Amino acid sequence: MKTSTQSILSVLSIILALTGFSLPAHAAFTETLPQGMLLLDESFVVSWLGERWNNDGKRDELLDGIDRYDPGGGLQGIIKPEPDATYMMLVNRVNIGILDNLTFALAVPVVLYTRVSPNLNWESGDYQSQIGRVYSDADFWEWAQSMGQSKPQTWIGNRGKISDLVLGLRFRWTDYIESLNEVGFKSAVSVLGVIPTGSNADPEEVVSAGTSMWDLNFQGDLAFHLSFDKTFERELDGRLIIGLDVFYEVFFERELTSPTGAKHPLLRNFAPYIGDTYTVKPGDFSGVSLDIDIIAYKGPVLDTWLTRGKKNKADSTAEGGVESAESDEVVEAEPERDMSEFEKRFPPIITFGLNYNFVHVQQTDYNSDFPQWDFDQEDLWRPGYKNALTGKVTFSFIRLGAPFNLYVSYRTLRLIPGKNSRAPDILTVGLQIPIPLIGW
Amino acid sequence: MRVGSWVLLVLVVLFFMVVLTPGCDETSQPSTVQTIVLKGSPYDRGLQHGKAFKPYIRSLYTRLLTNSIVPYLNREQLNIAPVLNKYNDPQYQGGQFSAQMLLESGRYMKDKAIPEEYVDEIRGIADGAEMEFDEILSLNTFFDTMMSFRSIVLFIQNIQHPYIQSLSFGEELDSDGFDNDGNGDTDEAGDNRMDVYVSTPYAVMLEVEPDAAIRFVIDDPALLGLACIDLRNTPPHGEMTVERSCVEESCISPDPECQTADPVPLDCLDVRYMDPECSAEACMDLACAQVEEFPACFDNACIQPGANGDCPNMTLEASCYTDGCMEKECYPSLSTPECYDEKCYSEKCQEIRRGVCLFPRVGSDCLKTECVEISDPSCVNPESLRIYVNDTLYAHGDGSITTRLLDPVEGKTQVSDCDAPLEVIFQPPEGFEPASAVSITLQTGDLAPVYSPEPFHHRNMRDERFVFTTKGYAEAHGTGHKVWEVPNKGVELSGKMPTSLAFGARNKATKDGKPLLAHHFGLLDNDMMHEHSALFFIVPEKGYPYALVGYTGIAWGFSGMNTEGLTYAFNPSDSLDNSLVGRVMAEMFKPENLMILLENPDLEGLSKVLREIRLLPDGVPIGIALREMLKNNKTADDGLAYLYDQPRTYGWNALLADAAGELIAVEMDGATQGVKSGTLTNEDGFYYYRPDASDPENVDTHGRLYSSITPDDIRIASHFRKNTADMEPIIIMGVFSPKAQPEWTGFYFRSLRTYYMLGEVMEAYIGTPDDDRAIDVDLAIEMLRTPELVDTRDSMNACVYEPAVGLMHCGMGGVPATDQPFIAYDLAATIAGEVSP
Repeated sequence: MKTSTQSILSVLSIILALTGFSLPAHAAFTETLPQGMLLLDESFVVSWLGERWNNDGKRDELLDGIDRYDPGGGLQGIIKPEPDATYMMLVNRVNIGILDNLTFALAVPVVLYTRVSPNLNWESGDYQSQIGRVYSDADFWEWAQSMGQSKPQTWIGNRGKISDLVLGLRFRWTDYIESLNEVGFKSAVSVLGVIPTGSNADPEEVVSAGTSMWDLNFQGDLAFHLSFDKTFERELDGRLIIGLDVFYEVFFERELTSPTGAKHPLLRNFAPYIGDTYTVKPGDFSGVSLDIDIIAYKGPVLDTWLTRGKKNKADSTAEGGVESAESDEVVEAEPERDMSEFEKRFPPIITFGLNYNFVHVQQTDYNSDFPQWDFDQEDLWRPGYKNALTGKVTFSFIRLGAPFNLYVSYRTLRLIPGKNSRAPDILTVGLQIPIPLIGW
Repeated sequence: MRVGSWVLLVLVVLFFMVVLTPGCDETSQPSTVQTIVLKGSPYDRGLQHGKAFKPYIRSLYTRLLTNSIVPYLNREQLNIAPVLNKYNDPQYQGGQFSAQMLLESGRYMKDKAIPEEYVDEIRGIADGAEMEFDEILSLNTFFDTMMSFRSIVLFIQNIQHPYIQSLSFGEELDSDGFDNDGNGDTDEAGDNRMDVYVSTPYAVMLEVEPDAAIRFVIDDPALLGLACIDLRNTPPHGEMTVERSCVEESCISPDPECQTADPVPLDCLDVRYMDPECSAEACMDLACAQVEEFPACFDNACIQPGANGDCPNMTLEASCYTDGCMEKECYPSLSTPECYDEKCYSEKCQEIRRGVCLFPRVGSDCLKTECVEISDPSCVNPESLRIYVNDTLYAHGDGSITTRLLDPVEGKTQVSDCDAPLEVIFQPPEGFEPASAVSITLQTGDLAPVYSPEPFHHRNMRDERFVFTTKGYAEAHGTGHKVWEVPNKGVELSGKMPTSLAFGARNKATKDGKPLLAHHFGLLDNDMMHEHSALFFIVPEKGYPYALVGYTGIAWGFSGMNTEGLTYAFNPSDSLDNSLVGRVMAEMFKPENLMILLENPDLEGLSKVLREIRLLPDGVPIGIALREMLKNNKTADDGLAYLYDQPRTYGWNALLADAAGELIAVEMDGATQGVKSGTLTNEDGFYYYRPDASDPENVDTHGRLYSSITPDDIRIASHFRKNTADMEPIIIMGVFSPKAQPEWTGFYFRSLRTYYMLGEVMEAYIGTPDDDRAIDVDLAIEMLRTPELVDTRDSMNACVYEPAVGLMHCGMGGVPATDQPFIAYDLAATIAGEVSP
């Protein structure tokens, strides 16, 4: 039963569309919050996983069939697992604008619920003279039960368990290069790190899942991003933003406890030969994302409590001029441009985003006392890649006087083939509330 | 934005993608073959072995014994314990049966037969791997124990499932002018039939009409007392119950719930209610040893951990057991025989315990005989009939099979309406292919419900195979005039893998004239054995250095060669002529026990006779015997003489070769039926032959070499060629008489097919004595890789040895072993340290 156990465990990693940063309106890679602005972001994430991309880049069941033989006898049959897993999470994020071009982020993902169903189907094998028939599904599990192994059942857990905390900083360095700003080109660097507050899967369970970044498999322990955005202010009225992000995410080695067989004495008793503990160095992520944001409807900036003061100021500037930020000189007014700059401070009402994300995943390295066991685990985590597509729509109500944004995104890894990677679908629904720490 | 900026941007991106995406080596399969040179004292060699392969040894023990063999054998306790009542004792309960049995067997062999040198080495392995000595001992002896144990289980099953009584073909064979049944008489009465069917390696009938109907008579044995076995079975995961009408009222607990229960839970049928002469107090003592709901019986003060030398885990104060009561908690720790002897029970309760038939508490006396039908109606189930003609399946209901119940056997008590022989007429609509050898494989079962070992099933006979020829075969093929000219080779059927095999060649049969010995061993891989393959180069303090092909943690190998060129390979060859059965026989033939059996000719009587018997094999584990042979002998003849002197644990086939080109096949068993002459000769339990027709000992009754195509080749599989009557029937034992190998083992027909297929392959590669075909190492490997000879599921290791030059070429570490690269090892150079193993 070795193969089935280890394989079942392998399906539990799910890619979730989470990042430490959550910025309003559109998801440009270089966007930062204005200084003194705090953004609360609460999102509900549901992820479904039932397929994978195999080593040949073909869509496949998460697990291969497992041939079972009566010891010394014929083929009992083939266990055909069609496992699926569901994660539900609440992701709590806070972003704070330290400078206009420097934003701090904190994300606190909380797993609400995890369910893993092994869905073990059965294909009968040879006629078995010993029992006078082929093994049915019930026959096989009755046999297995007599050996001490019951049929793995659906596992539900992780209710309300916190995952690893994510901390991040984004710095948009091109703010200091006027020539780049003038052509609508921005670039930022971001660094994210995690605080390991999540929990590992119970090693004694045949089917279970943890809440650490390794279990969730969506972000490294330390991530470096270099991002670029190109806006088209003049050509397209700022309605299109194209972004590019390259990243490298490091997973640190972690030590895990070996199962002793306390709950499953025949199936999970690895400790005697792999040692009491073993280490895992998950394969690092690296890759690139391409993002296109289309502002479908900017909408008017209504005269509301959120906009009133600023709108009046803009109006007056439009009428007579504005004071230079750098000096007390009164410069010549550019009425239309000032109104535009004013409106840009408020997110457009409807924005559509499309993101393509390529992630190369390196080999994961296991290290225990027993090299063969290490290989058996590593075989499930060979180098590969993921191709994710995300569609997102954001509704901002700030222009209308309501201080929040709503967004819905759907991310899938099933459309574009990957390799040695799982292919989940992720639905995210979120609410963002900007809070000015030093006044609107 | 200027072009330069874009270039800069692109360069930055490329920097991230290339520099920050370092190559990480993809994982690769670690070597599954461990090699080591072991030198020094036996203990030191073991220590080196244990330290070098510690995780592999621990893995093998955990995954093979703990996770697989032990739970698998535990399932057989319900079949064994009713006959060998000793295994109802407390120390075998709670899932401890097989672990305890394997350990006791290992200790017995250690004390009685294993040379001290190997005990020391096993101790060294244990210390090196940081494991218990008992664990490594079990790892080194389980193979012999398991094979013997398995034979007992199969035999017990064999005497209960249906069997072919007789076999007949068309009446026209009685007047066709041909000796169809091969008895030497032509057209005598009964020339068309076998009145008593016996399995045979040859054809059962010759020149049968292609449109003939085959008539089988199949019967199902009814053994009184089987109720004791069958009623103990329980629907899976359910409560164990017995129909109330089947139980004597006196056996039912006075508990009000039990008194009204129907069916009666087995918990209501405690032994303490069985024997009115047993005082309530004494019975309660025994009961409390089994039922932890009686806390009054426990006396924690009696347990003093670690104070007693005989019982290292605890001390049992006399007060703990002299009153017949022993604490339940004591059982798991009672791992040494000294700890659980009969003094743990009061004398009276011992008697009761021996009378217990159904684990844990129901006495056979409690079951009414009229209920036997429930447990075994003694009927062949016609609907279970499946007949293969070559590889074409015919089943009950498809029109080719008709059945009817014959009259009940005269004088036999019918336990059900269908308790009578079943006549089966089989006639495939398209007939049999003319002028061909036809293989028939019959499968059928009875109606006895068997709930354990799971899954639920009826008692099914092994796949019985026989061969006959159809009219024109002899004329078309120039052979087939005698039944022994037509091999019972069968055809390839799904799930029927070939067995272990070995062959040797020399002189004209090899390109350089030097000897070769090739071996492919397959028995049980269990999806993990191959990961523990090991090649040991051993330099003993005294004797010849040698190499063994085996597994980590095990001090012996399935094949090996020493620096003098003496080479061996061995395969199991199932035999009931083994020491376990021998011990049973010896007990049964005690005069007092014979009386008991005469009065109780059933399993219950048998269980009374065998109440103290445990499965303890006499003999040296075969691997250790062969290892010792390598250490001390130079030639195959010396090795043969050595093996003759060794007591055998089970049935084995071995092939010996040496540098001078001698090739000897040896067929061994426990030799329980003869008296050892003391001089090397063919006798009970020890038969051997060579490819030399000048010695009558090497040819069969038909004047043919036993297992050779030419004078320069020889082969073995996993059945006996010469030791065919390994176990002569013992008439007085009736249905309990042990049987010869062809009659019971499921390996027999698989091995026959392997043997004959290997013969065809050897003929293709080596040819006849008159042609120039010959093989070398590469061709020998090619022969081993012949698909029909490869067990794709349980292949374990394959090697070709060159005894004259000290080279061995081994494929292992994967399944099948023959698909692995055959690595060449130079024995002398490796041992001398000139090359790394």
